Amino acid sequence: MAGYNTNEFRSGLKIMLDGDPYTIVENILVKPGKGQAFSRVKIRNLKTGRVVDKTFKSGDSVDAADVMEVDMQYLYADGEDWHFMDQNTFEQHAANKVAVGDAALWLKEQDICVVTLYNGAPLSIQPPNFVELKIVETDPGLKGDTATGGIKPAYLETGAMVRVPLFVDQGESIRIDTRSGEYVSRAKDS
Amino acid sequence: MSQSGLIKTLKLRAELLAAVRSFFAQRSVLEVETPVLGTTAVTDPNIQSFVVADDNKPPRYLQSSPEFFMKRLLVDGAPDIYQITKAFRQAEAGARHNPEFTLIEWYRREFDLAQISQETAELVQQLLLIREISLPIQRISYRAACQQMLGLDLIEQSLQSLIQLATKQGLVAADKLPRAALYDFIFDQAVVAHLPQDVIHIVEYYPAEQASLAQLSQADAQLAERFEIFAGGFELANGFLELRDAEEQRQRFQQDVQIRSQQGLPAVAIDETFIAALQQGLPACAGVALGLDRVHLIAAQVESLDQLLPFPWSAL
Repeated sequence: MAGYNTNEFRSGLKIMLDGDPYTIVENILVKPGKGQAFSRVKIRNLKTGRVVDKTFKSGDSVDAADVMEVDMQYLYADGEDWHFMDQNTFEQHAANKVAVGDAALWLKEQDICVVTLYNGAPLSIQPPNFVELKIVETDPGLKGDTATGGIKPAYLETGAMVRVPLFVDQGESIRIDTRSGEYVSRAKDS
Repeated sequence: MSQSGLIKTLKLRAELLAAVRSFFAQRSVLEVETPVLGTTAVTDPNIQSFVVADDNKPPRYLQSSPEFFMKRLLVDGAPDIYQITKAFRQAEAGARHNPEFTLIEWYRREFDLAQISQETAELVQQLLLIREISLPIQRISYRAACQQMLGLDLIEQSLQSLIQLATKQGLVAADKLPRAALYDFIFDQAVVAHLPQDVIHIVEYYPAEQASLAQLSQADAQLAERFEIFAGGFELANGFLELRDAEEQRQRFQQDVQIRSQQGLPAVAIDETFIAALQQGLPACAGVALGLDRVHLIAAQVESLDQLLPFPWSAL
């Protein structure tokens, strides 16, 4: 793939460094009045999620990373992989446990997710910000039970555990914010 | 910028300029004006000058500093002089850099490094007081600053050791850089970044590789008679006990020319009229360039030049 010169650096650019793909979070020009100019960048490793500070000599080049973010529909899980489909090309991609990570807690069939592809293969999955999932197991909330602070644990169809208000029952669908893993409300068509 | 923000920044700039003029009037330093358009660029490989077309004649160059013309004035008999002028450098745009910026540059006959650096720090101190920012002045040598922040003397380190240090600090491809560039990176990243911000620091006696147009120290050939001023996390000024030896100056320019060629940078001719002036005899003097926009940033307590320049580069 092509490369980028430091004067092309900007937030969101995908580059290769030490064999890993990174995205540039921030780029600053650093230059003493009578000295070498540098580009100081904050970059996030797309494999590990770690953010590091690196500096490049101005004018140097880095390899571009073959990284793309594509909206795909989640189809199903077969016990080993999670399968997604690019709705424009109808191409299917299989993402393994490492790529799916915590997103597995929130994946519901037919939901549209953001799939980060690295060299054509899924690197990470981002579920939609909000998802509606069915509670498969929770204790009935006893009226007047204030000892627990008005909440109880509930297990969802994906295996995720979420704390819900006492009035929510087994069998109901609830809306969850996938970024915090928290109950938002009952689902609209519950 | 809001209207009230605009008025504030215009007023502060006007007050800063008036204070600069008053400072030098009190010291009997004469204000001068020299050409902004010259026939050569500077050989410094780290500076790219803007080229100005002049019909069918050879192009001219916007100055990156008024240094050469001001030194020629001194050769021709001028007394102590100062100038408030615009300087221009290609590709330097950022929160702290605008390709067009305001420099205050001055020269003092018979001053040594201690005197010129003290005077510069005092000017900065007075300018910041305009907005009630009162900062003390502290003096430290380059070596001592490194010792304090890094626990070692950068100048004593082997090239390999500097490369390792720079790599640890996050510099990519450090092994491709010369000593001077490694000094630039390490010093900025690991020393300047940790200098207390509420002090005006005079950092004096830079490594000889970074002498630029300063004399080498007679006491220690590894050091140059060069200082810089730092305050509020910013590099504000750079000054020298000026090099007077025409041959040594020509050699340094020739090294620059070689580096430009090696790095594939545009070729720049050596300014022969400047060398000729040195041959005629530059009086013993010390000089300094102070970035007024940076002082303005600190006085206005803003982070970025966009917030104080009415017409920043990117918005033009």
